[in-house]
Amino acid sequence: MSTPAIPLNINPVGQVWQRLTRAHPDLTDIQTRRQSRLLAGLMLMLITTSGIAALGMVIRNGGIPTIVLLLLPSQLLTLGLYLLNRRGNYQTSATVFVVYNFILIHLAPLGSGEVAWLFFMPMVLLLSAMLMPVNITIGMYLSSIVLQIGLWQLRPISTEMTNFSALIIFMVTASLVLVFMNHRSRLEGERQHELRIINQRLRESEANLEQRVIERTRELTIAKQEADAARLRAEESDRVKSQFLASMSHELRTPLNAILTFNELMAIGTFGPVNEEQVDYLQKSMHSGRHLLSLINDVLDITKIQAGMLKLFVENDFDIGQEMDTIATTAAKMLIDKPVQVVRNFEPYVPPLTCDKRRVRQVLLNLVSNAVKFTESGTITLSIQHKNNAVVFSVADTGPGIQPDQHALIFEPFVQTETGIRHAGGTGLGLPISKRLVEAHGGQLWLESTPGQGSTFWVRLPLQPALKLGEKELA
Amino acid sequence: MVNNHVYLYVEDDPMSRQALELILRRIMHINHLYVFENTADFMARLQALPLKPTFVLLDIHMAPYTGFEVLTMLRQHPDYQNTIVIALTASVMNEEVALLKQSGFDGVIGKPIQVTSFPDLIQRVLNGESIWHISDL
Repeated sequence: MSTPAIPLNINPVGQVWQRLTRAHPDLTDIQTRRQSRLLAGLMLMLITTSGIAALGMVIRNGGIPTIVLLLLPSQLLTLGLYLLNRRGNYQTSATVFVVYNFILIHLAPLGSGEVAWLFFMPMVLLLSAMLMPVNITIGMYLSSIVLQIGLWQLRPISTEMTNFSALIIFMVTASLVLVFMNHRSRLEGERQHELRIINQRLRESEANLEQRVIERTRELTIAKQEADAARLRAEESDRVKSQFLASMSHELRTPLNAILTFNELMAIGTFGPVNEEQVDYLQKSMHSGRHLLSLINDVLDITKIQAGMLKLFVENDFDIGQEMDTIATTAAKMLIDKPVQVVRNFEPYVPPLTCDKRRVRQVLLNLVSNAVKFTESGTITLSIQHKNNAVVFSVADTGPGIQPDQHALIFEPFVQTETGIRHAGGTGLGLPISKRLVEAHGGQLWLESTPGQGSTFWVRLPLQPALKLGEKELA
Repeated sequence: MVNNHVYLYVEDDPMSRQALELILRRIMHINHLYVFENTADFMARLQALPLKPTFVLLDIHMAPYTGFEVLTMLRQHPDYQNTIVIALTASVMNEEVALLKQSGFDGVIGKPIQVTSFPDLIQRVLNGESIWHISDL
């Protein structure tokens, strides 16, 4: 349903007037257009009012008076000039109109002898002031004085008013007109001058702006080139750094591996009998060595993840249920000194997962070893279920829990929570790595925790992730 | 069963070499074991050995030839096409495991070598099992 538009101008007379006095589109100068509208308006008023006056006289006199017959050609001429102006010929129309009226006003008293005509003379000058250039109006003023003095001799004045006093009245009135006109023209001139200055300034600021745009564009281009170069340098340095870390971590692991094997050989008595205390310390030393190894691996992993260089090796036969079971057993062994029970809450059948087995195992181990590390008493519950084409597993502990404001923080690399720092002995990289690994499989890792009661880490992995078997670049 | 084979162990890191040699000799009591300290002139030295190795333990990160290159040399020689070749790596990178599988190794054993599990892994390889073992810690 559409609502008819309400016309904005609801005054029909105004609309008709506007239409009748509209300037021709060929006139482009604003001043000329204004004058053209003014001329049209004046001529229309003149035709209408004198028409009405003539009609009044005809009715009153009961016949057509001489004056009406005399006015008729004048009316027709005005109409013609009005049409000429309407067609865009303002200059001619205005000049003829003003000059004709000038002549008419000066010649009319000759015929009628009525001094009243004198009062119309300044009107012509006003007309000229409005429609013609200043010098023409001044010329008319002067010639009007000369004409009136000259015409005194020919004109029979029938009233008591002398020609001289009529001239004085004319001169005073006309002077007022001229002063007003001069003042208006001066104002106009000042306005024009100001406009020119403003225009000039506009042009200058435009040029200035253009210059600034050019300069700014050049600055931006340079800045962009610099930023691009910096980005390339950063990428290159990232790549070099990752490469260095990869090879360095290999260099770090090699002697550590030898240390671990020597320790083990010693602990099992390969080089002769060792007493209980010695075995204990050898095992402690091996434990520290393995811990160091896992820290090195964490640093390498996060470096590769951040450099976008970590790759997945995807297989489609991962039995996550069995893996959870193995890890639960390992966790129970690690908890032998603490009053913590490991609870299994497994769905009987969980389909095989398509994933990088080692990486998913790494996530599981990370979550479980965190739970083992932070739980002093209570339970660690491992659950696994599958629904909506995904496997969801969780590790729930009864540890200290994590403050809500730390939830996002614990997944940020190189940041450790208060609790994490108190339980020193990790890089704090485990969770950030795990989260990134789960996401690389198209899954999610999230946390629910009540401080003082415990935490539950959830992992959801899709059964059919968008992963091709074999290698996959981790974006 | 373990001693039905002639072993060649190639490793350039002296400490690693010493450690695994101890396991092979002192724990597993292997009779026929050759050890190379690098891969220079590999094929020539291999063929100069009194007994032809049938079981090769290859470190991967070596010079001048890497474990991959040594494997290629072995497989290209008609005498060594069916030799058991096991890679030893300290790398935890999975893509390397994938690469090792694709290259035609018969298995991989990750470092650190664990004294308690290594003899068992070798036994399983000898039983025809494919071993892709990388320690998880």
